[in-house]
Parts: sequence; structure tokens; C-alpha cells
Amino acid sequence: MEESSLESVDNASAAATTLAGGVLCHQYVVLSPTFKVPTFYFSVHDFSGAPLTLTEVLQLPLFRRDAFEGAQVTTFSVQQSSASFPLLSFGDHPALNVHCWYLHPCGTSAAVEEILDAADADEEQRHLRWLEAWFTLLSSLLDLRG
Amino acid sequence: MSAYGTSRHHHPPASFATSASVALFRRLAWEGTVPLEIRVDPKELPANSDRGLECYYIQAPRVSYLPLLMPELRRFLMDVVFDDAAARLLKEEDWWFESEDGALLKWHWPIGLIYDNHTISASVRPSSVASIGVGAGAAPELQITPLKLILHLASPPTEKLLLPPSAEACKQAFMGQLKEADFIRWGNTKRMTGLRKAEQDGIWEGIREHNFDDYWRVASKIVPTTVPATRPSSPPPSSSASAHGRPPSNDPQNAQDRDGAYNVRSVPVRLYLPDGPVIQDLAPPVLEDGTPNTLTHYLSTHLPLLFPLQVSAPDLAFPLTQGVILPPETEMAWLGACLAGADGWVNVCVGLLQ
Repeated sequence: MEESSLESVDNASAAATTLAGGVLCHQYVVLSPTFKVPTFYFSVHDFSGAPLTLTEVLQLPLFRRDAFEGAQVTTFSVQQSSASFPLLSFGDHPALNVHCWYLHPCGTSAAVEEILDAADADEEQRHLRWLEAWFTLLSSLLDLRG
Repeated sequence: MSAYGTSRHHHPPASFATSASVALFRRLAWEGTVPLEIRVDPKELPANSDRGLECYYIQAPRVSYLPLLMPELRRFLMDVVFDDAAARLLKEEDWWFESEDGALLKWHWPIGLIYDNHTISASVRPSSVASIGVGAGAAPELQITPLKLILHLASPPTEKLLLPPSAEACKQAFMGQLKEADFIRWGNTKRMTGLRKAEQDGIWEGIREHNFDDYWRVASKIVPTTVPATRPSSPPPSSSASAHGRPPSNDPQNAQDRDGAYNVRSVPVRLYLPDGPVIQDLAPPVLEDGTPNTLTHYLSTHLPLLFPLQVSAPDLAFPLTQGVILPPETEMAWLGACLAGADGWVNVCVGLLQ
């Protein structure tokens, strides 16, 4: 991910990466206007411009193999049966006029706070630590090195 | 229409809404419809179909969704346009909608929002049919013309359509918006997650079947009202206006207001600009000085150049919700209780005046 995305929680940053097998993946980190936390939005297309189905998307090396274990997958979402929100869903990108998949942000705040409490974060660098913890959380689902 | 200048001297007491008037406005919003003209892409019609009949006109409910119209469209195509052989090949999962000017439609948006968004986009095109003239009383006049859509029956080649339209996906989008609205109001989604599964399914069934009572049977548990649960007698307007402006007290009647529209953290509201971004920001029901937040205040805060506070400034733009141009003194909390869409959100579409 670009270094600039660590400087401010508010920035929407896009990184287009070409993954093996010939797909184009746009990834964004955007502040959710409702939940006020960073949210991971993305879309994946093949080189003819057609979007991949969700099943195809989940097979990409972007996702860790156990990322959605036990979850129910439909053509439009990934959901744990006990959860009130889907893990992965589709929606409007908050700033761009595009339709994207996104990882639902509602549990983010609590999870990040847990990480920060455990790490005894330095108050001065709290924003940076918060975003690093957020990426740590994200990397439990995604392999962002690709 | 009065200018958008703020007037601190008097707020019309919209907050003395009775439960009858709340129900009236909710019913009006629910029964609102918009005209659609849906035409099948001529290139996708089989050779032997009747060319003159490929347009389908419908007064569609504002609270419904395009994929929910698909069964009706299918029946039309099967009965009128296609012969048996061609009709057997119809696969709804390959269908998608396009607007007349070639833009992909946001099929996961409520139909009313698609229509109002189209109205404001048209307001910025100088020679469009749907231009907004200023009428005799200086109130903008809207021309209601059918929204022309093209229905494609084959898989879309474009990269912008992430997902083909489907009723199931719409249900998820709808439930997601309801939960977000719940979160915006209270900082948590307890009211939504507190619903039983049958109720959650029931509220969507209310949309699918377009049944006001089925929808509100569940929605009344999550959508706040401007009226306390019990009100033995209607207090005179001036005192009830101030009662809603005051923070909750130990007064037993005010205890029931705790879940009321004026006690939310923020009203779930989004602002749409022509062909532009969607603005979502906090809209507290009551301002710091204790007065109710009004549309004037909200608009001049977020769009100060289009809605300046000086009384002498000419009207540049108009706010449209549920197809109605709203009076500037409308209270945001009242909008959230009475004129929100079925997904919980007040959608204010801003168009430009010619």
C-alpha cells in the first residue's frame, strides 16, 4: 500500500494491482461516512472489463484461505449466520461514483481498540498506531502483499 | 417560496405534529409513485416480435426497487412481445437497466431516489424537457415526465456493473441501509438487531408486496416519531414547540420522548448533487442553541454557496425529497420521522434553478 495512506485516516487511496491470472483489482481505503472508521473497498475485473463474480473474487490470492471459513456465500455477500452485518457486501463507494465490494466496518472500532490496548500505544502517535492496527486487522483476512 | 434566509424570530411549530399527521405523511410517502417508461433494447428483440409494443409504462412505487418490477416486466414480455420460444429463453439474471443517456442505473437505489436524482441531473442541462421554471408564486415548478429506461436482456459488457440486479441483492442493500440509519440515529444497531428474524423478513415483504401496514408493523419499532407514545391531550403549539427543543427532563411525558425523533444523535440524511457526489454528514435534530435543526440550516451549512443565508440573495437551487420541493423551515427531525424513504434515509436531492 502507498505510504501516503498512513498519514491521514481521511484519505481515500487507490492502488491498482495486477494479480496473477490476468485480473485488475482496484483497492481503496475510505472513511465510512456512517461508521467513521476506515473501510476497505475493492473491485475486480478481468481485462475485458467484465467484473468477476463474488465466487471468483473469493478465490483470488487476495484473500487468505481461511478468511471466510464457515460463512455463507451468495452472489452478493459473505455472511456469518450469527452476525447482524455481512462480512463482505456491495455498495456505493463513498466518494467515487462506483459500485464496489467492501468489508463491513461496523466491528472495526472495537477490534482496533483491543489491539491498541494490548500494544500500550503511545498517545502522541495514536493516529498512526490506529491505522497500523487497522491494517493488522485487515491482513487477517487479506494478503496485501500481492 | 420564501427566500432561504434564516429567520431567528419565529419557527413555525412543525413539532406539534399529531400522530394523525405523522401517519398521514408516512402514508403519502409510501403511496408516492413515479412514471417509468421501460423499453427493451431493440437489438435484443427477436425478429418476429411486435415492434410497436416494446415499451412498458408503469407508475412505480417510490419505495420499491427495479428488480422487484422484473416479474411484472417478464409477464409483459411473455404475453405481449415474445413468442413462446423466445420467452422460454428469458433469463432474469442476465437483465440490466440503462438510462436513456447511456448511464448505468443504480438498481440498488429506491426507485423514488433514482427518479429524483434524474430530475436534478436534468435541472443542470439547459435545454432539457424537465427544466425547472420559477412559477408565478416564485415556487419552482416541476414537470413530471416519465423516466425513460432501457431494459437489456443480455449480459452487460461494461465494467461498471459489479453485480446484476436481483431481488435478493436488493433486500440486502435495503437491510444494510436500515441498519446504517439505525446506527446514525443512536450510535448502535440494537433496535435493528433486536428484531426477530420473522420481523426482519417481514419488513422486506412489506416492500415486495407494497403493503403499508406490513412494513410499518415492523418499522414503527425502529423509526422514531415526533409524537410521544401517549399524549392525553394536545398542548398548545407554542409550548409543545419548546418542549421538543428542551433536552429530556424527568417529566414522565418527556421520558417517552427519549426514543423520539428529536433525541437522535443525528438524522439519517444524504444530500445528492446533480451528477455529483453524495454528501453524508451529521444532522443533529436540535442545534446548540436548543432550536430545532431546519433544512435551511442544514443546507446552508453544507452548501453555503447554493443556499446562502442572506435574505436578499436570489434562489439558486431547490431541495427535493420524495418528489416534493421542501419548505426551508422544515425540521430535520420531522423529515426523519415522516418523509424518510423506506430504507430509513432522508434523501435530499439538490437541483439548480434556471
